[in-house]
Amino acid sequence: MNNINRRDFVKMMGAAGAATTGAILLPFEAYAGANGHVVVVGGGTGGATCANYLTRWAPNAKVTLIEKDSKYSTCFFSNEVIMGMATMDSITYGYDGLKKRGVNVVHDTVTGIDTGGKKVITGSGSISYDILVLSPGITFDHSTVDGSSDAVAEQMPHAWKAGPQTSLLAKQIAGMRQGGLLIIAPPENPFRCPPGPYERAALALAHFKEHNPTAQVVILDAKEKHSKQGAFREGWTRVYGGEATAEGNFEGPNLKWIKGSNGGKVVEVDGATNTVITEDGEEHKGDVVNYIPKQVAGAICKDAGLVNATGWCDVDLDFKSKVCDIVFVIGDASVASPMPKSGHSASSQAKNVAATIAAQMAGEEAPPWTGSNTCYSFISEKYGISVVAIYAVKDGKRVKVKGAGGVAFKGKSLRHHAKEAKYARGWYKGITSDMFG
Amino acid sequence: MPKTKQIAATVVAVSLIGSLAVASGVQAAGLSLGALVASQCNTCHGTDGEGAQSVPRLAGLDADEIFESMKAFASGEDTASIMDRVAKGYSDEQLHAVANYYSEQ
Repeated sequence: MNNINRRDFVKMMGAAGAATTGAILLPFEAYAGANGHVVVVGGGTGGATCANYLTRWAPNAKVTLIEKDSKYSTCFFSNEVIMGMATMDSITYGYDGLKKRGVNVVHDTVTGIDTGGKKVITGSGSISYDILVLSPGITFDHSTVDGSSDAVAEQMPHAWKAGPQTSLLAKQIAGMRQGGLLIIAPPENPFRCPPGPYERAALALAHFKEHNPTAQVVILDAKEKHSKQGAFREGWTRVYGGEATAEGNFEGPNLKWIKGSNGGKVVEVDGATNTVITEDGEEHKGDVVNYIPKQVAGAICKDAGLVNATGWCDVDLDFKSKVCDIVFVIGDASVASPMPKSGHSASSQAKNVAATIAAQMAGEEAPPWTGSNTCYSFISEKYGISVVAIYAVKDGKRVKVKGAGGVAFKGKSLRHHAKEAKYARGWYKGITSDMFG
Repeated sequence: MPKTKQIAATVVAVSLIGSLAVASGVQAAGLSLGALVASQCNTCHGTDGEGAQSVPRLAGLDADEIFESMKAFASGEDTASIMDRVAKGYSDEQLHAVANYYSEQ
């Protein structure tokens, strides 16, 4: 794997730049990239938002977005689709808005990245870049659970990438027998959308309350605790009943959450019988099994040699790959700690990267890096909770700003949570307008 | 950023770096602190603060009003479901910058 740094990049770009200006008015590096070609791989939250903001902040740049599908369905709000509260159409977008803003949208599969030659290899050829932004999301890692495979997802849908998997799980939930059992099996950290499985359980209870009141939901968790745990437990209790048990599980009339060390950790799955086996040897057969496999960075990252030993991409404070510093990696694929793998984080990172690229091309300093995350979850359609964090770079580290953020719960009024649910819908409108123009 | 703003920013930048830059086609981004901080707010408030359903519009509001609201959220003087947690994360410099940015949209 070739390591290409900015100095090499400037050197390569420099000759052409000097020939056309005859005079160097800006730092050489800046001119080198002024009309550069930024290629963004992945048309999800990170990639689409980055492309959109590049058209605003680097109007001279040529921006190409490579995305295999012509339509994109958001993972956020897909739990509502699964539980019959929204349609696939309502979470599905095309790329016409970005095209109108001047983004060259290419629907193709990226099969490789030649970092030395600065080319993205696609199914139909190759595309050269000056700066590359990778936002490829996640791929599933089946190596730690026996029987886990992409094929198993056809029986036990993960629905952790929105699209056909969302529809499949929605169909299974809608068709579940009266009094049936839904098993939700979330993976160990880190994974995309840490509160997602627990919102899914809550909205399943909301759905079943109306359509299948004796149905049961069991969350078999690989973890000892989970995202927004206090707020979820309070919400589950208030809306559906139940409480924490002495063993550290949660038990309600229609919901059980079992932590990893109490027999929650799934070690084997069998799609043919809809059965999962936990670490304690217990077999759990569900009517519907939502097994969510362990995850790593999108496959292209591994192919390009950009991942660390755990399968994710290490990045610096600007989200440049620590392997190749003219490649930015944003969104779920990056190790962005303390930012979680959320859509809002990806959006935040995308805008900062667009700012860094725009400033670099103009020979300016970008404004100081500033990050944010607001992650809403529904307990019911009228009960929302959220976690907030603001991030900054301090003493050479990306940190949460002290005193800000957090989760609002512990006795907040139902009116408060109704407002959070209402604002969650506004957030959805906002983040998708930032993605698709 | 609306087209007119982009043009304005370009004109300012170009006039600063001289006429040769115009000939070479170099364009400075002129990206402000306010624009980057606002981009973080846009995720809920809509691109350029245009508002997003239940989340209020910020574009065109008075800069002092935005700044004072954020300070009141941060201090707890104004109650909020979420903005109290957000407002505490920003310095006065950032809040003034973002307030000025939105007031000019």
